[in-house]
Amino acid sequence: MSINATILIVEDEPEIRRFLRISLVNHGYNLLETPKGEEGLTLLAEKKPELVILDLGLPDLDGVTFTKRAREWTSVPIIVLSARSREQDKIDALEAGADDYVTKPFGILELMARIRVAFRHTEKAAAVEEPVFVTGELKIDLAKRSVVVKGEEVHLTPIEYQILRMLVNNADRVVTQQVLLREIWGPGHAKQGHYLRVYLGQLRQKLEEQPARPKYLITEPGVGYRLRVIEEEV
Amino acid sequence: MERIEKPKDAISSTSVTVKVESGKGSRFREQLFGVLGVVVLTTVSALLLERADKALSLPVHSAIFVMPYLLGVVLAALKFDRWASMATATLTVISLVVIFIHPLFEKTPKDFDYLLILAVFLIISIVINELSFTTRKQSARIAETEARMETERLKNTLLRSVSHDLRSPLSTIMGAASSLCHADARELKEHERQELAISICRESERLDRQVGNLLEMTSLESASLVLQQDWYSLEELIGDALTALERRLKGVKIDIEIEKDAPLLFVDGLLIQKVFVNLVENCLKYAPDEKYRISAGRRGEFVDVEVFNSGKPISAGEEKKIFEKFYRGSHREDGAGLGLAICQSIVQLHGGAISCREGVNDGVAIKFQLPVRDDEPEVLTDG
Repeated sequence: MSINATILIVEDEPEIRRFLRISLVNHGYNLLETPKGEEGLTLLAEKKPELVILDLGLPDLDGVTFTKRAREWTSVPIIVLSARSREQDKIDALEAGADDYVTKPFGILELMARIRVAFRHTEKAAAVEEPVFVTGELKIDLAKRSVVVKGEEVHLTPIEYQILRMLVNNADRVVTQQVLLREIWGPGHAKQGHYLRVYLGQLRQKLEEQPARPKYLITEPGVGYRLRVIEEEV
Repeated sequence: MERIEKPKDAISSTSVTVKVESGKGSRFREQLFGVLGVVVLTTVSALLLERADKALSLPVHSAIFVMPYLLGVVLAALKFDRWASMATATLTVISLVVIFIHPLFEKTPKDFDYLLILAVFLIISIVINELSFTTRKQSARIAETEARMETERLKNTLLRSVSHDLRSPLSTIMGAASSLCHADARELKEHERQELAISICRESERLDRQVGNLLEMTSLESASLVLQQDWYSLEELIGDALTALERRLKGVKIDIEIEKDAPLLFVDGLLIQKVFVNLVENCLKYAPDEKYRISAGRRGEFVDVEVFNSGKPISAGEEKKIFEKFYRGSHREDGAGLGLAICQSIVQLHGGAISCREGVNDGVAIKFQLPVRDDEPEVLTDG
């Protein structure tokens, strides 16, 4: 599905559009481009691309507004490009419905990885779900609620499991702190990142070979967490 | 970690610049006491002079009584705020009128003399006030200009260093990229083009890091920096830092020894992460393919952290200098200049200290300490 898919690039800097165009076309995607947010929304509605790459710093329409308006009628995956250290921008965009983000300046590999993950989730949504999730030496059976690390069963507390489950359902995508806190502790707890950190620490102790050098449970500083999918068996 | 507001029961974030908030109230009180003090002193000395004159029959003109007055007015004009020195002048005149020209409405010629003199001196004191006020304003402005010039000078020095540190990777990028553009494509072999492209990639990342460091340094030195502190474990601080450096740490082994039950640290997570990132980056840059070790544990009131690499030791005597901004040691070709300075800034902001351990012969050990607080919260988990 990903090959020959159409990607819409909404980015006002022509040089960035240039290298995106070259790489993405090289990978077999079709492209739509525009430097303007409003035009982007129009193209989105008319041409219905399969994925949107959106710069948050557009001159005419800010990325968060674009995302909100798009999400009013479409669940097309949206990957935002944001300037370094504007963490609140990223969080706002993710809260508005963006699927993931890449921080500028970025290398093409990072973006390609995000695009692949986005398409994978779209395919998953369409297909029959698999209850077993595997990454590296970690195997999580969502139906049986079991977690196996290097062949050995690991016991997780209910909250630890909930956190892990949310990360698995968004495998390789960032899940913001707010979403995790809201879903697990309720709407009043959106500001208690400390709880999350303690639980993530416990999860790392139980699942990671070197908890101080995590392979699977990755922190996205200032934003949230991501469960990394490692393709090869380590 | 997100820069979120702390829950209400936690300690509020520490402002780095200690702003004197109670200034206004106590300053007013100070000035008021000053005014009253000068008025009283002036009146008392005038009275004493009068008594002395009467008692000793000194051949002194009556105008001498206003000398203390003048003194008081000049003193006030030099030291007090504008309102306070005006108040001093006026109140002193009033008190002198009351004391020397009594009862007020029995105007004898001598009293009239006094009144005239006091009126003249009131006018003079107003003039003195205004002059003094203007002078003080001007000298304040000059001091401000000088301070601004000094800042300009420092900025220019910084800009020159920065320009060098940014131009280095840019030179490589420009050179490699132009070689790719302008060379006849047929003349460059595939592997040569690949080499140039890799060079551009690497140097761009280096440039990115330099820019990051510069921004970091600027924000650390800004007076409006507020530490967003919360409780973090050593594990996550180190873990997040190593994740940030993941690409460059591929295949690199690092020994991580965190003492069991090490206390949580109440720190700005993003900043302390930066410290680890910079220290590990330095290891990669100056001691590639060596052994690396990060160890941490509690030592009394502090948590001690050490980042060690088995590379070439720091030359004796340079252990303190390496933390200076833009320091270029004997074997430092490129501008890592800011990395350690940033670490030092951050650690000091947290009430800690950083140093290069002396007498280490088999490598480089950078050690930093962060204070331990005794109000570590207990997070009850469902475990």
